[in-house]
Amino acid sequence: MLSRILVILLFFFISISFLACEDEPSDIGIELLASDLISVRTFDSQTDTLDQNSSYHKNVIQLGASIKVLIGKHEDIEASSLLKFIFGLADTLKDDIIAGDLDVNEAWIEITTRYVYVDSNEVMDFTVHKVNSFWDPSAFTVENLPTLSYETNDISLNKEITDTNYVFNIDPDVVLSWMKNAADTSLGKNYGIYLKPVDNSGKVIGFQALTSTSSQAAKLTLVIEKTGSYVDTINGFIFADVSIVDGDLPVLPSEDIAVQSSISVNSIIAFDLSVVPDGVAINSAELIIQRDSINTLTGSSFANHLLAYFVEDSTAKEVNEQGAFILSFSGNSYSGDITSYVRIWINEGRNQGVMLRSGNDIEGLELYALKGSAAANYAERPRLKIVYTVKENL
Amino acid sequence: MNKTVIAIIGFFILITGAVNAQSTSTYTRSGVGDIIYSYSARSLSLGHSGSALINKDYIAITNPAGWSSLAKTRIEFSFVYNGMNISNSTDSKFYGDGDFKGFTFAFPVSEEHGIGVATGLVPYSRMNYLVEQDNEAVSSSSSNYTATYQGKGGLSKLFIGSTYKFPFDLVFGGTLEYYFGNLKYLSKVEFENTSTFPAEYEMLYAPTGFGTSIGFISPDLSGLLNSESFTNLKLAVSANIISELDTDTLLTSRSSSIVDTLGIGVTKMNVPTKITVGATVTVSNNFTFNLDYFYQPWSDYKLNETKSVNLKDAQKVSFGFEYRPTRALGMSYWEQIMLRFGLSYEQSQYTYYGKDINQYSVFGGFSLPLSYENTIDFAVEYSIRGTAEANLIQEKFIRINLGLSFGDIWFQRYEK
Repeated sequence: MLSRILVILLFFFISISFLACEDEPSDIGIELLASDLISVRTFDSQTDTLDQNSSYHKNVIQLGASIKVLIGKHEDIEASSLLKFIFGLADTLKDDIIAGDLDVNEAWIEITTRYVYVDSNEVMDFTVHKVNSFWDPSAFTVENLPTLSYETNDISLNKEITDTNYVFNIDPDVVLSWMKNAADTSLGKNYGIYLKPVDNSGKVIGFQALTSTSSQAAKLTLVIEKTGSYVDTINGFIFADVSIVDGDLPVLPSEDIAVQSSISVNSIIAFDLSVVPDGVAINSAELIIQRDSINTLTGSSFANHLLAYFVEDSTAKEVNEQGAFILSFSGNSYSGDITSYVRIWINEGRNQGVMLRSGNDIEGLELYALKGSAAANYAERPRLKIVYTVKENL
Repeated sequence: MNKTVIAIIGFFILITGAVNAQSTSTYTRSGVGDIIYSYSARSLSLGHSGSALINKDYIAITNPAGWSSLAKTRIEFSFVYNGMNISNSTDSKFYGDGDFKGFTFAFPVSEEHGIGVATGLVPYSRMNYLVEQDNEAVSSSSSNYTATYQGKGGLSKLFIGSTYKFPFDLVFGGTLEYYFGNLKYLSKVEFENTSTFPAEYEMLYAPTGFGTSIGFISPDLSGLLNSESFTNLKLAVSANIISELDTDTLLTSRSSSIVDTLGIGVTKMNVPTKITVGATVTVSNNFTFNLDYFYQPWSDYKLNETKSVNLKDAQKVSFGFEYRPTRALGMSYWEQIMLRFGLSYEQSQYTYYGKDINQYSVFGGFSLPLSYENTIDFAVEYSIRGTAEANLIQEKFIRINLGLSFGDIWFQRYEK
């Protein structure tokens, strides 16, 4: 009997399980939840009242990690470079160098063109100087240039310039001193060379820099001779390079702000978001910056986007370097998502703005002229669009 | 315990878990949710009546005085399936949910003094609603979104109590109760465009505190009726008193992985006292009739010293009938089945837009004996609450309750 009951019960429960097939949630009864209701709202700096300000400033940065070495001039920009070569010498060759039996008959350097700023029809020439003081490619900046010791005489000659490379001879004695240094550091110094543009240069050229993968970095070739014994051609290897770029803040229309690589110029834009209610949850925030295409100057190749950094201290121009949002270029504007910044601005009250940097801060010299907060046309000012959720009766 | 019974329990748990969705409407946003008058299938099938019953073979929580005549040590479990058809003036939906209703444990101490001890963990209130609303984008920079509102949780109580029978057969029962629980209100938006982060607000109340239930059951007053057919006529009164509950509150907003605490603190919750008055009488030894009246002034409910405009005093009248066959040698299995039936009318604690939310219920159930002291109990409730007019909602509940009641001789002291 009991087993029969249990079978009935099982059937009963199975029936319940089918009965339990339920509908999707609906809005029935939502009217009774007045205290919990939430709504989505938008804030658009272009249509809603908002104070904003923007400015741009210069920030010296290290360029040793760049994949280009820049040499040349454009208006008030002067780019020069330091190069250092080393040698892998056989012991017999070292012995000949130490014994003073080796001569360098000829030495030349080839550097490969990768980039031109701005007008390729302009000329660019440079002088080469032997450097007499130590420099660290990972730390050397334009601020260190006054302390750099180098010979004033130009040690280059026979410069051959094409669209793809520069080849020039340098003083064989300088190269020999580098080789002596490679054989025995007490016999000579090797601080490399300094490539400085001549005054009549009208463009800046970016040459392939030392990277872990490129075979197009600067090459040193030399012909050596041990009198009566051998004549040979060997190579020196690029060991370090760094660009030194000097320039003033770009002069732009008063309503513009600027971002420029390498020099480097950054902009800070700050929005007064006190008009956004407290306690909101930020769903999305988009920053849109209009480009002043007339005053924007770009080179032969560049990454056409900006980076937006969270500003920790607008006075000290300090940002959170842990990450940045990309503002992609489309139409005539740069735009991107900065939701997490706006969350901090509103929810934590730490709102000192966003800093704009070039998409690749250490490459090239691209000058991005952007419409700032003082743009006469409101539609051209930096635009912040926020989608947020607010709870009623909060 | 029979292995098959264990299998049934497991199967029921599986079902109740599988349909874990929602079981209350948004009426329960006010107060602490729907009040659970009883946890057991037996009580449910009597329409929650029976506060004047002194039970030998099951543990009721309506009136602690009812534990004075327990014959054996007992342990009881209960599970429920809640089906709910909810409708407004334009739409109707069906939802279901399953729940473990609680357990109780009781044992007799002294038959002479009517001392029984009971303990257990049972729900006091429950809410479990889920509402979604699709919305169109508010601007070109937004996208269509769905707003979801969920209320989940309730109060539970852990109790221990005892009874004492005075010499003139007046039975007193009392409990010490610890109340705890979470009332969680979630408001959330999710966008069609996944590049727009969802956001949610969560309001959490976590009340804790102590309370007590006290109750009296009168001596048998059937002599006043001067009829042999009427026996066991008893009256009862009980009160469930809850102290001011310390309530942790936390309001957070979340967008993506960022959680922002908008408010945190401790406040007070005042849950009003529930009064129950009941009567029972047995006719011809096998037919028991129960009538109970519940009153709880929810207009006095306060959270953070604030009353709710959507709460009023609740009243409920329940009627229950039980057929309990007289046990005799040679009875067939079917002859041992107990049958129950109940009706109730409730003016619930809810009031919206000036309209009171009332409930009509019909109940039924039976107990199948598993052995002499063990039963498996079933109850079914069908209720209609509220109205679909005036921007309100009407709920049609079907609740199916399974209870298991086991009796044994643990802890019993035998006279030498």
